[in-house]
Amino acid sequence: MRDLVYQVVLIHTEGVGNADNETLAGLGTIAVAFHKVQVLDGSTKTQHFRGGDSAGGKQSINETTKKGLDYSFCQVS
Amino acid sequence: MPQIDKFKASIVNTKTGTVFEEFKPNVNKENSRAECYIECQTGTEFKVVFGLDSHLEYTLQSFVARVILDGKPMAAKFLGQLDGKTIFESAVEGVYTSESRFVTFAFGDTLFTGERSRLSSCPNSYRGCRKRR
Repeated sequence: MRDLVYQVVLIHTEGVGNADNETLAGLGTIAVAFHKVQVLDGSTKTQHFRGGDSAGGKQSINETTKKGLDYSFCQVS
Repeated sequence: MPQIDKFKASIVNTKTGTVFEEFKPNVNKENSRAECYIECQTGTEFKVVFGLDSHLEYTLQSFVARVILDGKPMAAKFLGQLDGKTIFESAVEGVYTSESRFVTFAFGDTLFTGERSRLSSCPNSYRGCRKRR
């Protein structure tokens, strides 16, 4: 094993609030942070969520890729 | 594979589909953090695979997984139940640098001198590099 490695970090931050940036900012780090979100309505094109980041409010999700659903943190009205 | 409760993630060689060998796995349930180390194989393309376990208990919940490389947010993917379906797993193989240009992740060059580290990029791939401390 070499001493030069990538660190893989898995973080779960349930509820409101981001994983702290210091934890995620390490060079040589691949991090995956999970945030719990809530589906607020059943519309097909744009799903509304609440919570999941420090900004709170409603957020949008767009079906833009074939391999998964890209989640956008932009706020929607 | 580091795993916390229902969450899991791994780094996979894009071409071979092989999961990178993981060293020094460590799980801290108190701060909900798991970590391990993988070897930096310069030039090797990789993807970040992550998801939920398939236990039915969790299928009514929804999550967003943010992928951060070298401290830089790269992507955010939805996991969980949506429109009657449950997405258990997703992967990020690279990033769009423009509307039509997709570049894959690859381990960057390793530099053994100096004290500062930086990210570098090449035309065909996103590469993270790291200098020896």
